[in-house]
Amino acid sequence: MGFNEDSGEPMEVDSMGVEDDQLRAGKQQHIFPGQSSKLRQSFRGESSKSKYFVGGDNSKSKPAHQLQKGTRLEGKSRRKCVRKKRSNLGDESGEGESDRPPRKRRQNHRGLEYVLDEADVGGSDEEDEENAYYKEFSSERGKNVDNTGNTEKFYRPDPLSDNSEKDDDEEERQVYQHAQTSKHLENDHESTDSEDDVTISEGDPVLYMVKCQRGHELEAAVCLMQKYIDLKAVGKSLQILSAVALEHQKGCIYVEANNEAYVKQACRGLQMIHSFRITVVPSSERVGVLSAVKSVHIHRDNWVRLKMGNYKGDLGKVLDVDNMKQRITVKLVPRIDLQEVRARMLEKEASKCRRTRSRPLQRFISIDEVKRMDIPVKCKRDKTGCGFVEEFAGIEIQDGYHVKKFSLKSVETQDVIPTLDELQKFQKPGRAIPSETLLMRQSLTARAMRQFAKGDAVVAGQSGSQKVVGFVVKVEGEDVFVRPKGNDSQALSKYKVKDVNRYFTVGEHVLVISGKHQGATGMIVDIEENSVIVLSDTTREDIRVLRDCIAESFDVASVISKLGEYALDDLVLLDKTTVGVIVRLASEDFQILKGNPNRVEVITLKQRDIVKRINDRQGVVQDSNMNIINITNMVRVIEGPHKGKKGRVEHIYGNVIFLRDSHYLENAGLLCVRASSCTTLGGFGSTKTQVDLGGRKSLDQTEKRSFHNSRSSFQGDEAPRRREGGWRREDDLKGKTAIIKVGSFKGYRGRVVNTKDTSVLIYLESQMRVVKVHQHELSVIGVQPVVGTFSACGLESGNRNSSLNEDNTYSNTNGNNNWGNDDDGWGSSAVQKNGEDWENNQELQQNGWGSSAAQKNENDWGNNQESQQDGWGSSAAQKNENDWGNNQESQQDGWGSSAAQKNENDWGNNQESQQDGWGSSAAQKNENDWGNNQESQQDGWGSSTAQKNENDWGNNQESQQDGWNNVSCIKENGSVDGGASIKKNVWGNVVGPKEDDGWGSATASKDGWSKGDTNKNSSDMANDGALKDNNGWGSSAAQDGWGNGDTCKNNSWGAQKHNIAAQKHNNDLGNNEDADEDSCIKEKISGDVNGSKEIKAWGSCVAPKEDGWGSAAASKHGSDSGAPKKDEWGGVAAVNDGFESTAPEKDENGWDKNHETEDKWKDHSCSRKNESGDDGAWEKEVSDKGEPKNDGSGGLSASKDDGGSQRSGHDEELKKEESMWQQSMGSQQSIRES
Amino acid sequence: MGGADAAQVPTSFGRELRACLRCRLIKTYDQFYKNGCENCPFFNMDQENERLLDCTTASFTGLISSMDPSNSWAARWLRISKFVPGCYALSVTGELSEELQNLCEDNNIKYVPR
Repeated sequence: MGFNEDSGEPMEVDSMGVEDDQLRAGKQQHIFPGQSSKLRQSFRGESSKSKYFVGGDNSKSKPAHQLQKGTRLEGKSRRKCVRKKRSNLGDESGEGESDRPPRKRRQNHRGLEYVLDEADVGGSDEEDEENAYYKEFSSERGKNVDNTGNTEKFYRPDPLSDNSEKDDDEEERQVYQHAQTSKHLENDHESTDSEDDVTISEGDPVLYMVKCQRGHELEAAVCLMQKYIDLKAVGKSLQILSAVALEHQKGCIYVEANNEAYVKQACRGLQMIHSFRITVVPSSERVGVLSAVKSVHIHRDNWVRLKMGNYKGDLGKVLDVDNMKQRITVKLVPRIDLQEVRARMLEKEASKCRRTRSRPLQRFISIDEVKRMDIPVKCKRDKTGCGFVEEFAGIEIQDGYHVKKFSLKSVETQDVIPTLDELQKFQKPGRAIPSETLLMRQSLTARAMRQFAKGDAVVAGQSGSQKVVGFVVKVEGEDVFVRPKGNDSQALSKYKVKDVNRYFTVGEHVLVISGKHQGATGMIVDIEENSVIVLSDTTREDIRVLRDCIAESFDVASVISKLGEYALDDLVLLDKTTVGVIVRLASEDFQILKGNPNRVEVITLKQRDIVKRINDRQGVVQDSNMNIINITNMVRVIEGPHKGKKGRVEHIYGNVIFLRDSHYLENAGLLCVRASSCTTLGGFGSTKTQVDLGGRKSLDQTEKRSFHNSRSSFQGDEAPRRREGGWRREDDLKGKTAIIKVGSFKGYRGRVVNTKDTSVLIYLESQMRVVKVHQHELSVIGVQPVVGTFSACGLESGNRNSSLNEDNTYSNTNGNNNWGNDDDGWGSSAVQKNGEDWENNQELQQNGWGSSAAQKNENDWGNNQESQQDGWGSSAAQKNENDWGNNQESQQDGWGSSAAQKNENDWGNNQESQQDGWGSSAAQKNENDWGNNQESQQDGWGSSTAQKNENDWGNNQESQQDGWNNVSCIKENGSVDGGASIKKNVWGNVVGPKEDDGWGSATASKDGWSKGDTNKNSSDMANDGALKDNNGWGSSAAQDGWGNGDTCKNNSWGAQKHNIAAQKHNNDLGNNEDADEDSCIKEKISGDVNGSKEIKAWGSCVAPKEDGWGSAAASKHGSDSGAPKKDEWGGVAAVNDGFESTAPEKDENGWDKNHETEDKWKDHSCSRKNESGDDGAWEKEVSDKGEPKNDGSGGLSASKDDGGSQRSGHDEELKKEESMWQQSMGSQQSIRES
Repeated sequence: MGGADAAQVPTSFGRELRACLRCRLIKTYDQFYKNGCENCPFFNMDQENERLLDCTTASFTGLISSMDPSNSWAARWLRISKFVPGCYALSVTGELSEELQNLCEDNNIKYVPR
């Protein structure tokens, strides 16, 4: 408030004249004393009197009050004796009678005094005087001169007014002052410098906090001062000692006085002070009140925050401080609208009426840009002389920053904590934020929240000095005692709190306690000098926070899953045509993956931006094969940016589907793809077509269907038979794999997880869920308890469902390693004859222990045929006659089995035959007329093999015969390229992958057909073509040797084999027509053979332990050329212990292992193929790895050229693998159990 | 002692307020200009604009009205107990220049930056 606002006239009395606000105060005072006096005046008809009568009034009213003498008496004596009590009394009255309490009381005293003391005249009582005083000013300032006199005059005749009270007070005060003085003197002689050390003692005055109007603190303090002076001028004394106003403490002032009553008294009449709210400041806090006001010294490079204007709230860097003018020059990120600047320049007049524009965004200004807009720019030297400043239209720009002057008052200088983002804006590009800046910020940040507890790990030390890592031992105020780490001594170092920082280690779980990410929790993944990278629990993203912003915490931030009516994963409509799925919920925002199949687009929206939620539970769409995709189906993406991904369909909208790939880490694993870019996985119907699709791409749909039909009819025949065989007992269905025959899940295959009465809970692999069906609706496929899902899948894969086989994620196998297969049995015999005319696809499998199988296949044209006969003691005869374009594979494995195989292929045939066994004898004859590729292998222990290959024209042929006591013969190679031990088949290759598993085991073999197709183009085809997985008897390696494919390594009994170079995996190459894989294969074949990596892996496949017969095979693929997941699979080793253990009924695990390994192999098949193109390198590598290991029965001896090296491996690796294997076994077991 | 003549009381609360760098007395520019600083007469800032600006600052925080400096604990704490009653700043920004510090010394007055 301005002082002179209402005083136009000069003041005559200096002391008074100065005090405009006193005048004002006086006026304001009228509000109550004035009014009351006037009332009274009018009541008494003394209105002619000036305001001085107020006092008079009061005094005159005294007699009325004297009526209550008794109390007065008491009051008086009390007051005289104990000051404190008096103040209390004052208090009471003050609170009790809000009207004019103090006055009454005082008047009463006065009255009392009058009675008792016969008191004097002249001295008016303080209050009255005050009132009079203010009245004076409020009414006629002109009368000032007379004021005193008038007052005196007025008071003098009042016999009631006396000074006795004052005298009393004076007395006391004098005594007090004496004490004070002496004390003061003591202090004084210590010199003024040491006054800082003034301590608070008992007798010191008390500091009271008085509420006042906000914003009027200074005024209040000054008014008190003025009042004091004015009163003094009239001989009165205001008994307060000082009044303090602090700018940062709004709404209150501090008044120092010996007595609260004095405070009240002093404040009376000052309207901006609410004297009814007085509290005592404890002596302990007194110092704080006064010392908290150290002014902030602003220096260059300090951070400030603007308080007003366009830049309100913005961070600025101080360039210059002008203390005299109270202005600082600040560098800011400009908020300048150049258009507006220009507009203003052009129409200068119009600009005067200022347009109210919205606040421009923060943006760096380029001078070129300004110049382009035809705004004249002046370049001048910086005031500091260290640079140049461009100026246009009164705006100074330096390096893109806006340099502007502000008044010190308009900037916030204290506790300015720049955020990381803001700091970065002030950083020169490419430079990290200097650590001092961060430290500074840190110390600022820390001030408020830093608290240490005993035991906290901290790093301590002043900035710039050596930092010490240690533990907090104790905290005393500002001091933190730290015991350095690794220091056993009891020595403690003392640090100031500000020099101590928490110490974090990578891996710690922390909570972000301030900043943008406040509330997030996560694990520290990296620590930089001042900041820490935290992997957020909720978003799985790295967030960078300052060290001080985090605290150790074991809590995990809860993930919000619902915000308003929308929840995570909801499909929502964004506008008429756009949809999206909510992938993340931030505090108020939704992050939404837009339904754009062409690219990943995530936008952040508020709730209001979302139109509605879409319920698409019933959504149906067709995939690329015109199969139906429902929600929750599994699909694989076959083209587009997400090619290769697969997952569960979460939402369907139009022809766009959202699927969740659990291996895809972004956007909660959600992908948006076109339905036509997908194929369904698993399931019924669609599945089969896909399977076949893959294998025989060239065949048209009808063919596929026919194949499919034939298969199912085939199966249909089997089911009853099996049932008759009594394998199926309801009570031990558990763990078996079964197919649902009727109902909505018809055709689905799954593993029985539980049975109850006649209902069965079955876990559908393709759906990844458990359904309940009636047991009669089930058709059990496996006899042998199947382990895990792998074998379960494998079971079917040959027959039904090879689409699953592509699916690495679910570890489905193409390998058919299940012992119990379609036509498997122990002691069972199967006779099968298939006569199919045209375009048939046929698979026959006969496995068993002691089973004998005869198989004859006659295919006329375009047939695919696979026949396998495995068994222990089984005898198998197989005859294949293929006329034209046939692909044929036959395998005969067994112990003591004898196999005869005859293959006659007329034209363009591809043929592979394998005969493995222990003590088996195999005879094989292959006659190929034209363009055949033929591979035959005969392995065995004590086996004798005869092989004849006759190739007329352009054949490539390889034959290998390995074994113990093997007899091997013939190798005849056709005109082209035949001799190589590594097969290079140039021409008309056929790929026939085969897998023969163990002894008595069931085998499913895959067709090589498609192989031929894919491979035709490359010279290496042959290598790729033949994929075989042959597992010996008791051995458990997926691709091991027995009678293997091209580059076969043949290992004898009990030996471990790895066929690597030529190893083939039917799954991928032959059967799976996954577009991805094909293409990838092609690529690789075409030249880019990444030998070394994979080779390594290969070499590492070793059989670590082989105990006797049942050798163990470990197959291991470290290769990483394919999907990254391979690594997971990588370390698998299979160990078979003992011959006996291979007996199916005894050792399930052995088989399981086979499955397992097989799976692995498949996963890596791609890479392996690459390998095969590069045999030489591979072999080298392998041989480098170590010496061959002899196992068990020394099956190596007869093994072929590279057998040894293949077997070689690293023991360590093996062990590793073994352990991994065991782990995986364990988990499998648990799966099974569960 | 309290009885000493009090310093002028600032007549406004605006930007004209300045505080003496030595004693922290707060007055308006005009008051300083007219009467100088009651505590530091040797500065002779009256009628000397330059000197006045050198000896005073507008950058101060807090205000204490010291009515009875010798008895006030706060005044002692703030080391203004020997100054005349008046309004003082709790702290001021800036220091006296060398020249003025010398002037203080010449007058046997200790200058303690605050």
